[in-house]
Amino acid sequence: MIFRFLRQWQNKRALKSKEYIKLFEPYFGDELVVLDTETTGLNPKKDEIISIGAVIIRDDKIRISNSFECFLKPSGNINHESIKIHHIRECDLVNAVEPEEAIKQLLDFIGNRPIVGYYISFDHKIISRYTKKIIGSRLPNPTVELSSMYYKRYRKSSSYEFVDLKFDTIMNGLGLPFLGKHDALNDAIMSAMIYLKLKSMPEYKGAFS
Amino acid sequence: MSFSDQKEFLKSICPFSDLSDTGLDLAIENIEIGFYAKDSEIIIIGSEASVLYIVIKGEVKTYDEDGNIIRDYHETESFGANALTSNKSQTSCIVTEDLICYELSRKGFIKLLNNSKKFKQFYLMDVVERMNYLKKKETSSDLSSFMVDRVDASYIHEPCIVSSDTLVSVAIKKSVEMKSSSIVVKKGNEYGIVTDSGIKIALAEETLNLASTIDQMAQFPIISVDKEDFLFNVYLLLLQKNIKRVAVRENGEIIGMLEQMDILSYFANNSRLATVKIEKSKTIDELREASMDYISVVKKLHAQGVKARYIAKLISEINLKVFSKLFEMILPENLQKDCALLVMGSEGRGEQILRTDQDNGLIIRDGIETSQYYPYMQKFTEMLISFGYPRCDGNIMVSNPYWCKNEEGYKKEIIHWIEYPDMDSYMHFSIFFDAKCVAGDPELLESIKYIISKKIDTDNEVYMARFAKLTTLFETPVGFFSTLLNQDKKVDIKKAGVFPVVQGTRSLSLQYKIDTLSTVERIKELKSRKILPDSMADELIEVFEVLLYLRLERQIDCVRKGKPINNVIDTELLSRIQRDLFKDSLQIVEQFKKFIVRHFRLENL
Repeated sequence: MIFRFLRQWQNKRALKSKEYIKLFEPYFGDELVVLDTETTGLNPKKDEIISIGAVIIRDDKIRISNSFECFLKPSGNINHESIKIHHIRECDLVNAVEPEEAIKQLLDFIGNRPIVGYYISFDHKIISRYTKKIIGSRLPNPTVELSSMYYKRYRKSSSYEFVDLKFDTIMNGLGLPFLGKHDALNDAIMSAMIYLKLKSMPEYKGAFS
Repeated sequence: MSFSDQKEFLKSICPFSDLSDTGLDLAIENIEIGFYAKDSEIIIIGSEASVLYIVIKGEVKTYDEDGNIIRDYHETESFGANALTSNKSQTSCIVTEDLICYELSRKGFIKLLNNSKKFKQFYLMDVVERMNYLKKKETSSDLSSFMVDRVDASYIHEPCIVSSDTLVSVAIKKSVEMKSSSIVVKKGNEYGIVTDSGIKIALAEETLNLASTIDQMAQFPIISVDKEDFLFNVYLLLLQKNIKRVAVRENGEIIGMLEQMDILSYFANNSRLATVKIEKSKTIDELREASMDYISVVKKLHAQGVKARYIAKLISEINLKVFSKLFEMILPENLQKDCALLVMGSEGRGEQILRTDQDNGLIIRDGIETSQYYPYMQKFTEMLISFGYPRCDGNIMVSNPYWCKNEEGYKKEIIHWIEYPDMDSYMHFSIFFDAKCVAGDPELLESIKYIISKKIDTDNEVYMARFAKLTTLFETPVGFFSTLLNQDKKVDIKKAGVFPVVQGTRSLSLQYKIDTLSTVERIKELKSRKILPDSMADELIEVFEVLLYLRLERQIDCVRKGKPINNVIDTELLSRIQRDLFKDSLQIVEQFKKFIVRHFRLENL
């Protein structure tokens, strides 16, 4: 707790511009931002963000009209493997903006709301790498991890059971509908559904929890 | 921002599918996604609704104030429109399976109403229009039906019109020049006709006088149709009147002649051929063969999208011809004039499409020995069975002496039915009430029907009420998708839908002495006498049509698979649009039942 407080304090001090001080204010509203990124790889230290999708949940409703989608201009050529996964080709990136601009837009969108996501720590880390450069600080927002929410509500048949936490498995397990292809915004909306559904379920406190 | 996937999804939903691209954008801008766990109450009765719900996944049910299920909603269906447009919800709405749904705000809903006429129609039009809309969607894909083709779509021959004082020789010469097979004779404002066969007959009978004026041999008035009429109805007219051509009018003036052959080209040479073969058959074997063609006729007409009730009408024309022809073949001529052959039940109402059973009877004139008819009637029934008309389970056939009696016998029976009602007698009474005379002396039936109307007049309301109560004999499963009533999601469409409508209208017809037989005609009559409210009558006719159509589909399916014909519809095998139609229909049937209950004050019975 103290450790976290210290880190926040360091982050705050490192802020280049006071414009983003509001990100550090505690959040008292009831809104959440569900967020997903598409990246060139799985290493948050060096891979690049290709696109970001985010949507706001308010009053337990997914405000898809209040959503965010942005494509980032890549520095070099896109890795062929990630083209296969995301189906984003360079020609899709004509509307892409400079990373700095994209990240600033994103920060404006999420403000100091908590962010929710599937393996959100990855998104958090990779976005923080960008924000450190741009505003001088890591992303300060608190996060909510969907896979652990799911795990807590999953009724295991034995304490040794392996709980499959793949995104599609969770969607199927919760009986949620897939909304088209995997892109950042669609995944953010689907993650939001996961969140609402999990929120309505009690945590499982059985023998094998 | 790209919402292409959301848009794709919305686009697959009726009526969003009719929105333009900008309309869809407008929809997306005003939409949110909501999640509701099982058992949440989304809409509270009497409350104001603020959004239109479109189910993405899950199930909700709506309930009336007494807690009765009204209907359920599934994937891609929308609900809450009524509450949105009327400010106060008439129903409550509870989630029965975790629900994920789009929520279109009132503001967005209203914008879309103004954006698209079709969208507006879908939500604001009443059920009749909505059904037509859905049906149009259903048929537009695969059918170019000749039902929608009008007279002027067909080839219309130039008419050979002559004035009434034209000499016969001149008129005939003109028609030869024009290669016309008929001469239209104009006499003042009236028109008559001289056909080629008329001239031939006159020649044969040596009455043809070339020097006389043409109006001497013309038949007045000429039978005509409007150029806006449906071809199919013209075809029925040809069958009924047994003629080969009609005149076509526009604004009252004759603009051409429509020949049977021209209409036939629309019919893939089929239905008319069947009836021609029936008329021309000389032996029972020929007749049997001719009558067997009908299944292909039904399939063809059905595939062409002809309304089930018109197919039924046509098929019953065919059946009547078969019956009367067979009757003439079997019964010696001297016995024919002293009896009346009846078809009863659905056959009498002209609503049987595939031969599901035969209900028939014979009335013999008082004073004539009845037993001499028995052997012939025995043969009649056997022959019909060999023609593919299944035996009637209730043994309501002329071969059964109970249904082969003299007038006195029937009159006694009817009084007995009314005075000692039980299940059988109600059934017999119902079936007899729909009787139609197809051969012999129709007066015999008329006199007995007169007895019924007198008996019901002087006698009691109680009988009428009990008779009407049969309308509610079978449960109509409203919201049938997951109620215990129909766990395997199968519905007997005859019991749940067709029978209540038939019995309800029959009861009202009995009460108000309406003598038409077909259910649709009865409803129309009830409407024109202001017994049924206009809107209910219109809806009921549509509903009856939908039910017959779904039942026919089911029956044809049975025939195709070589199974015995039944009326059980597996709702899971219906297309989404059909399911919507079916659900809406059953709801209206339920309303009609309630109307009957109120009308005959059945609550206390």
